Amino acid sequence: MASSSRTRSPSLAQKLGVALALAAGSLGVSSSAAAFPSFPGYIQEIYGLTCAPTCLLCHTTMEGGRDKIKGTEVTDFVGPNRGFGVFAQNLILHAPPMTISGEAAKAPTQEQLAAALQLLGTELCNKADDMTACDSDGDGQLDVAELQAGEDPDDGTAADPLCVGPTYGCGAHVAPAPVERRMADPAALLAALGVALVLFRRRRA
Amino acid sequence: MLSLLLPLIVVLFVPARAEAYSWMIRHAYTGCPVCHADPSGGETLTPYGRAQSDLLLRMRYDGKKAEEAEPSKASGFLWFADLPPPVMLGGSLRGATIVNDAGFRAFPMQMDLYGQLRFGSFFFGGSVGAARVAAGVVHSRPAQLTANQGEQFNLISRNFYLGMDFAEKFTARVGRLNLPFGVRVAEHTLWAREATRTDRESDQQWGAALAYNSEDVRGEIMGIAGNYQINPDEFRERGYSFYIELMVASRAALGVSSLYTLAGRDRLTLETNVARGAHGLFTRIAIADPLALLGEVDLLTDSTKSLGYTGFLQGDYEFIQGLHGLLTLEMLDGGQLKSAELENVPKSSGQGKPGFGGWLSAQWFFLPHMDMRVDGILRPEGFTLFTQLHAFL
Repeated sequence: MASSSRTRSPSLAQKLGVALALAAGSLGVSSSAAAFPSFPGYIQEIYGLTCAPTCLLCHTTMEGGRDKIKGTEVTDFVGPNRGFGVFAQNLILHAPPMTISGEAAKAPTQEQLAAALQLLGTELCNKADDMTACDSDGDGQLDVAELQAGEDPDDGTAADPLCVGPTYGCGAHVAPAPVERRMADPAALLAALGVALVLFRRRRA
Repeated sequence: MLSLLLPLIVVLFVPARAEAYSWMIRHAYTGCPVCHADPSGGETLTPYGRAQSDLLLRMRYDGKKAEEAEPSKASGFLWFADLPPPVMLGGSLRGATIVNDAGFRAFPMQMDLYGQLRFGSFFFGGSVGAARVAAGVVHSRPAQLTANQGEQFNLISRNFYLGMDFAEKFTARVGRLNLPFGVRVAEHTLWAREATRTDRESDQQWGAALAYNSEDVRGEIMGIAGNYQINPDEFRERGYSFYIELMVASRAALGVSSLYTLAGRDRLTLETNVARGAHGLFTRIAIADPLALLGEVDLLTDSTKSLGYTGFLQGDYEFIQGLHGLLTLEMLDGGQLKSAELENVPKSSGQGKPGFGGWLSAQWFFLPHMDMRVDGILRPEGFTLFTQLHAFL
């Protein structure tokens, strides 16, 4: 068979080798500077929220990070404030040792985070005369109740939804979209493009 | 099944690209469009850019100097394929590992396809790829086409545009474009790129841009219409971004950049009614054949923060062709949120106080279309060892 420019493309074995390497690599997830980048997703799962809270719930930047944990001290206070880290500090203070504090050798699991959040609903937290379970922003609603309602436990203002961050993608919105409005699965789109390419190349050959 | 099928399709379908390397000024390449489809550099390579990538970028094993050699047969698209002149295709496959105090992670950092089709003076092009990041991560998301907000794969597009060349030196484009600002470097997590939000990873914006390229002057100005891949509208930034660069010597350039945007709400701080700006100077200098310096310093303005600044200085030393050692020093004070200041929240490194960082890196372009890189990054939050293996097709 006469050779052509098409026979000089990488061999099928080379392509399959790269594909297998990518398949192995595709099991990983992109990392960020956050000490525990999985926490927003964990909180969404634990409370059945429509969004993953941003890292600003506990950190001073969206990127998170061990050195960017909101650090307002838990002091005597009465009345609403904006939190600014009282929630994060309460979580660290009352969690089992070597879990949420970031000093553990491994990143906490979702179960460990759930257990730590549960303690905010049972531990005596606020250093006011009338000791209650944790109400980090002092708005009269317990932290656990606010999380279950999709509200920010670190923000004592009247409008304090957790799901205030942006959503990404064309036509994205917080609530799950009706099935007929959902964008096609990206893998299916690429699969269709790939099949079209193979058919096109065979036809040209 | 789909998670195995997806990479197979990517391999069959994804063409190649090379990074924009601003230190190519050491080879007297002062401008970008001779090698890149983007008039300010990056992504899709022209046929000439592919040839130069093979001659000047990668390590040579034939004993020939670049000026004595011819581009190898492996320099083309998918190594050996020839494309008709109006068609430029490219792409990147990049795997990475990170080791820091959170442990070890390996992940696919980039899976992109790039292309441009030209009809005389008119052209259109863009990129499509796949990305998968954790729910709280800020990268990749602004380039999403699909709307998965969790850890699922998403289809992404960093660039797409229509354009035309006119009057020999001008290029006009409309679409989603890299922001014209500062030094176009590969390290998208450099503070100067992150704090100004002008990286090529996912900080692109929709808008219209006009570029000018001549032997001694190059520049681009863009009107920013917002990123319509972010919702709702209050999070979309609108404004301008531009740079102008002058060749002050045959291998030395000095430039100025400015960016200003308005948004109803900031997507990273969630503050409202935000007017954000970055204004500064940058330079590219080839000190001698093996050593190139890149530098940038920017003032950061934000209506919700105190005044900030950021900058970096990078030296790239090419020991032998294809093997680079890099030292990068960076600084950042992004300013402190005024709302935090009112609450007496203490200032911290990078937020009201200066933070300093250093990168010690090595990059080896070891084969046609392939390079690997190791970075040791020391920042206030700790040390990170970062490795990459990159293939462009």
